[in-house]
Amino acid sequence: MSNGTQGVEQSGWPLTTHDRHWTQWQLFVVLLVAASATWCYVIGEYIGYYLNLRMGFAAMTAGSMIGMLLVTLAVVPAATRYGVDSIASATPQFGNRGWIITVFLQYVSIIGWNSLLLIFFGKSVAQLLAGLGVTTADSADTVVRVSTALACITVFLVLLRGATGLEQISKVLFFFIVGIGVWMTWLLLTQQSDAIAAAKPAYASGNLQWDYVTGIEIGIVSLLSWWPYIGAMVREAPNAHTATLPAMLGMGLPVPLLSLVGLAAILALQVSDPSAWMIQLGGTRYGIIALIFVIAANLGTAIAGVYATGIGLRQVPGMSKLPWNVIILLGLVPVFAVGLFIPDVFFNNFGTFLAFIGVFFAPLCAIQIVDYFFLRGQRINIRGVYQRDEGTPYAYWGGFNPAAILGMVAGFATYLYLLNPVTYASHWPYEYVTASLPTALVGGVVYLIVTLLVVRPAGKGDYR
Amino acid sequence: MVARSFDPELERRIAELENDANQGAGFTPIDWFWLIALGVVGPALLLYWGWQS
Repeated sequence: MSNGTQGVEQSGWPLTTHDRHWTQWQLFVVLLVAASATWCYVIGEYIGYYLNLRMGFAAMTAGSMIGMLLVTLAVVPAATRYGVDSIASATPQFGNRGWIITVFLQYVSIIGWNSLLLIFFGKSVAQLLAGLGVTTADSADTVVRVSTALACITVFLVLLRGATGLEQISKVLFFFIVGIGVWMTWLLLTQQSDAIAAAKPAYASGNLQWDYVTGIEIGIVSLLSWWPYIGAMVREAPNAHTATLPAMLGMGLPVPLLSLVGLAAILALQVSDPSAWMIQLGGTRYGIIALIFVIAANLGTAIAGVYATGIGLRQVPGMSKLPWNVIILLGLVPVFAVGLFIPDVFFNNFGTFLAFIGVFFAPLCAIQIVDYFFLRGQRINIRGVYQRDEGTPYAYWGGFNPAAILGMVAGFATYLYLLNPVTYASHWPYEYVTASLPTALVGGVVYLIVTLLVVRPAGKGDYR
Repeated sequence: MVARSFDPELERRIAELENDANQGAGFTPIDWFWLIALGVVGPALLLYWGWQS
């Protein structure tokens, strides 16, 4: 790949068809590596609090694929038609200043996920070193912090090569992640099948339908969090057809499949972290293998996340000219700070973070789907995406589209009514319809109504 | 309509992408089949299977 192409990949500018060479297989590998991380064990763990293995697997997988469908419909068509990332693809809906909302959501979301990953990584290293007798339990906190710092440095060095580095490292990590993931699942299901069958979910509510829907909800919101990631990668594909199956199978399916490991582990062994239970099951040798998996999986996802953040930040005026290494640091320094100062606080509030994802990304996806498919006839004004002045296609009112803001607010209120993100207290009809799906529906319908009644009649938004 | 000009390279890219022939194609009917199968029908069947346990 030439330096010129590499520079464009780091610029946030649209990729033309001449730049977009990734095949279905290349995209599948990159997306799979991006999706497969140890957060899957935490997701599986949360579902295992409410459901047994069969129901948990069904709810998690179904929810994940529904969430992936929403993200794919929202981002893939525009990203692959015009070679743009998730942020640029949302500019027609949010406005040529309103995209700051999506940049903020992307930034917070990816930093949150990366913090979780790298803290998980640090904890695994600490656990393994303690298991090997290299360190003591007293030094675990220090080991977590040092490991997080080393992981950040590795991500930084790989990403200096932009998408090329991402694609190259993905080829290597792919075999570790798939191979060891399958092996761990087999190990758990064969050695612990009796314990899994007899296990009772620790926090089951007593209402099986509520528990089942909560499993689906966790699956949906987990996959909605791919919105910030997916655009930066699928834009390397020449068309939507090349990206469809890689998105659904490469990014959607690995999460529930790997979450099965966490689900089975929490049911059988009451711990989801493989570097802990594999030592318990087979001694330190298995623990080392699990650690290799944790390193490979987490680094791959963290690299993809920071790359996507970098492309998103390029859309911010003033950042478009910053050197690429500075952009990467902007995505990494907050992760490093979380890992250094508040690793336990962050790690212990994962459920709230997941709900935060659903609150914002469900209406966001719906708004994009409604706008692109029903209001714009699957076309956007690519010039308008990059124009920042008044009177340009996506200037709306002061650069913000009120339809998108009202859609987001309505979705936010709907989610809060249906499911409290902090306490998980719910209201009817949550136990029938989840919280994310009605949130998406309300957000999309409000966007549609405001656009038809206000925005389009006012001649704003480049609608025809 | 445009008050400020773009970087020449960005301008070249935008001009190229404004031509429909240079844009990536949308979903094909086969893609829609897979999207519905994997995102709607498959999840519905899985949920039914899980609820039977």
